[in-house]
Amino acid sequence: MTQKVETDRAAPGLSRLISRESQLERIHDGMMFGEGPVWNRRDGSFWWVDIVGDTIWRRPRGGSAEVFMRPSKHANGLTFDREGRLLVAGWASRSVWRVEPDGRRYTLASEFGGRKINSPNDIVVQSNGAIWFTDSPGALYNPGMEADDLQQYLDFQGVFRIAPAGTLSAPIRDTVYPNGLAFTPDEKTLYVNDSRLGEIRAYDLRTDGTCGPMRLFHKLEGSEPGIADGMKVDREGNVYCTGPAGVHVIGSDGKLLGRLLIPDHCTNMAFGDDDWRSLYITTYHALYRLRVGVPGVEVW
Amino acid sequence: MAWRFERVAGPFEGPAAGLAWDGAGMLFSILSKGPRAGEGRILRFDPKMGETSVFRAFTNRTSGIAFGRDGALYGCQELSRRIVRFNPDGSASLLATHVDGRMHNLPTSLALDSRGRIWFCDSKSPLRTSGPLIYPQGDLESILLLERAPRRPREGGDPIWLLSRLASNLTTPRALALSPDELTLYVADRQGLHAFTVRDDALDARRRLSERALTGLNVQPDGRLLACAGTSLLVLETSGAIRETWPFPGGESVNSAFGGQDLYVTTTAGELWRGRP
Repeated sequence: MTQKVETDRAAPGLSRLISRESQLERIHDGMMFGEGPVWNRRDGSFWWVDIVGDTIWRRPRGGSAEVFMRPSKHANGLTFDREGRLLVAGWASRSVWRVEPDGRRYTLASEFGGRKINSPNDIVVQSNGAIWFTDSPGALYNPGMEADDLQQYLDFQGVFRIAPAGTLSAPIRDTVYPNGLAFTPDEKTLYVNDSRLGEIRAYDLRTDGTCGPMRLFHKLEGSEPGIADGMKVDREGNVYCTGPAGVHVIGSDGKLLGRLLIPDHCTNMAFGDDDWRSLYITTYHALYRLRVGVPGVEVW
Repeated sequence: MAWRFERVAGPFEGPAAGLAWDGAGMLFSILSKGPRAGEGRILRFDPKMGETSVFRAFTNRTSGIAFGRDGALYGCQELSRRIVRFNPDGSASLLATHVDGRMHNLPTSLALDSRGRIWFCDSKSPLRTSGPLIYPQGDLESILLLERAPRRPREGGDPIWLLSRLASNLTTPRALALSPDELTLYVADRQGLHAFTVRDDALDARRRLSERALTGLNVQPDGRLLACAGTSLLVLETSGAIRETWPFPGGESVNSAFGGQDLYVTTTAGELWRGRP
């Protein structure tokens, strides 16, 4: 099924990114809470999760969706590391883990300072191999996707970094509900959105793995259903973030370029296909794809 | 009988709500508001030291609390729409959240009986609950019962809890209490005070005892009810007749509980008050 993409609040420049003829193609549905989309450049497969449905899905190039893992401890954000291993923001497992070539799960982070972390939400890998993930408390509070232990032990909900050597640190601790995260194309800045506050924050990255102070990059507009959830950046630095009514496209200067009005509640998105010019969008119930004008930042 | 009241803790950020006496200290819940609602807390007042400490943080608007005979504290975690078990080791566990195939609404008040069953009242709410809105609230405002299934799922596994609906057609029930003999269940909603006769796992039709709007219900050992009614505390006979009215100097009362010989009262201003005869 395809339909034309509707937009609103469009500023000059949006049509260069999202053509007026863009078609939104639904390529999978039947989920309860789609999330975690990622394109695998190595074999042209596409991956995503159904958090409530407790499943990691995979769609081989030219094929149809198949179950990769069920149950999944309500896995959430997915990405690949530089060796091509699937990395999982493990949500209800209260850990970040990767899938080894033999299929075993290997836990990369589950405690900080001797305390259980909250519930890893989304995840991204830096070119130096460091893994960054948001640690929102959703699996401790949200019905239908609960961890076994519902108690929050950390006194912050922040962003963690796993150094290439494996050390866990917490460079960002001032967020309330950190969710989507993405680097600028030059990796000098990390964007983190906050679902509770409805804003995208920017943190300059230092070479030692710490971050500079928070700058407000953008405050989401609109009162329709939808929150700051998934977020990705294209190669020109434009930011794509879920929000009220669908996907908000924001210029690298922090100004809204327009909103894509998406049927169903958007949860996340990922650039994909061999030219990185398809934007895959997960919603509660479905996976969509549309073609865009500027390719996205590649995933390892 | 005139009681002398004094503020012993607070004000804290957000209203104070449920209470539970642990044998030496009084636990009481604080309902934080706003985006940091997950940071609601259960506090503990130690009367010997006169000090208040944090019993549990990040309770996500847990309102009513009560100890079970197993030593665990159970709470109505409103924004997560569930009864939660605060385990003695510091962890917290889920019980059951679906009744008739649907997730129940927001629990407010609970009572545990001698068999370890959990009676609680559940109502619709305009509060923004946690997480994606994929489980719409239902229309029924109910009394629900949680009880352990007869068998455990596996050796050493967590018990399986069963949830059933015993009554509905209530109007925003806020408070619930069992009589000392566990044969009567009292529920306060916007229509007033109701009594249900308990028949094992069922309730007889309700009887309305009073039209007064009450928030907290606290059953005394003699069976009389101590109810919160704004700036008054009422002592009610089991018939619902008002036996005594005490002015309460601490503002709007929410709920009350005895700790030893002392009466503790929570307030909408986020305070804990103590009364002595």
